[in-house]
Amino acid sequence: MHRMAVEPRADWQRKVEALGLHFHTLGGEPYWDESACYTLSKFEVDSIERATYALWEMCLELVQHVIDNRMFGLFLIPPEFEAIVIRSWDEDWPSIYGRFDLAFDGVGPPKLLEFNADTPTGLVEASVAQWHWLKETDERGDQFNSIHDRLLEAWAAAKASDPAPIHFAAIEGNVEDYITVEYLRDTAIQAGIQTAYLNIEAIGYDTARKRFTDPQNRVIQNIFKLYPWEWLTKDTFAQHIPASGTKWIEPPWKMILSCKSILPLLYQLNPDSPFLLPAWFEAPSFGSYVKKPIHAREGANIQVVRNGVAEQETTGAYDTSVCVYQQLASLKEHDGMYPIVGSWVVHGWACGIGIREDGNMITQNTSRFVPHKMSD
Amino acid sequence: MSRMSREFGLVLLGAGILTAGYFAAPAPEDEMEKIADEQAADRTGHDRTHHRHGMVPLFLFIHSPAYAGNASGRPSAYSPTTRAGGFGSAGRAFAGGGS
Repeated sequence: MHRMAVEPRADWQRKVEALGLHFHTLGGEPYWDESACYTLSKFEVDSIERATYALWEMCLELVQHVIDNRMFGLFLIPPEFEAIVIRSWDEDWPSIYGRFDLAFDGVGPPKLLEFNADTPTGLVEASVAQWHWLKETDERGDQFNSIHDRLLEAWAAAKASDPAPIHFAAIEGNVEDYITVEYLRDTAIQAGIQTAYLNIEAIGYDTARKRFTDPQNRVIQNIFKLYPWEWLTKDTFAQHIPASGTKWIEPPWKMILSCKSILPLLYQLNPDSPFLLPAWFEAPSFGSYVKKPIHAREGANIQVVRNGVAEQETTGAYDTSVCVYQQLASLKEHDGMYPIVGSWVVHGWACGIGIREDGNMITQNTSRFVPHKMSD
Repeated sequence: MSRMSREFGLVLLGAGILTAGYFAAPAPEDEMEKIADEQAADRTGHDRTHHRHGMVPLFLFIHSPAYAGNASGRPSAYSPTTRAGGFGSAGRAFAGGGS
């Protein structure tokens, strides 16, 4: 895995905007950064693919383990939601996608840093923008990327299990979330599903029918929401979710996998996995580790401890009262940047990657997305 | 395994439909950048630009696929027994729900 400086395309901003990527620049600096790219060998791509499948399998086994042993408290799942978590698992409600964030030096096996199982973004960049970049800069080049195709398959499977329309919702006023949801809705439409978009705030609850509805008074039978379960379960309407009859995508059982409590539990269940870093529910008394709140996201509220001394810390608004601790991964530096591989699993397929890099070891939502291609 | 062997199309994001139409009020292109930057600052606690303004993008989707397109951009037709606004408050402090 190598980082190469490359010449950005002329007028690249307009080109990525035409694909919906309006958030390409943050604070005057590129978020989408095509002044460099990463090249990966087929062996390295195979390693990432193998790790992703193994991690996905371990995650599914973990969900079954948590349900069998009623370990919901470990994930701060409210008791009134336990039944819908179990039901969505037993009834196999559709799950479309997730993204494993991996530390990968190109030599050893990729190591799981975290699993964005519920509301992953960076999707348009990985699926669409970097593919168009590749085709324009190297027409014969190859890329680990069949994300778009797998999304079409995922929605086709969802339609086969339930042909009812699907609403798509995101929080009002967030450009990245809106574009992500619209891209997903795009692929659902192409799979033949009837769809509608609404802001999460516009979801209504009809007390007469005891159903969630949209502003056109249509019952919401299925909904994809880019709004984390740990927020849904705190909102005023949370009390109506279990009996509402609405199927939610990602499904309620993703409450388990989207919580960082999976990191120590995965390690307990699979201590010999080459793809897992040691992780604990209690702070180690020595060594180097990363302290992560179980429901934080985008690199917020993270503390890096090296040899027992707090070395780096990020701010944020997340609750830091419940944390897990993960052995500090050795990230390989490339030209002063630390890349993290986001490996997508769509409908159970390991189907592509997006690489984010930052000048420090904590990847945040301002970290740059850098395209990749496979070397010959 | 890896190669995407065909070109693919985009219904909503492609062909400039979304780009051209989704602001109810015309917004300069650079406003998008400021908004995205503010949202990043809100999530991380880092304000990289110190820009502050009250504009919130109002999305009005003009493409109308078969079912309805945008259920938020039309006049409301909630029934008298329906209340809205019961979701979203927990996420308000964080600007966005993606990860």
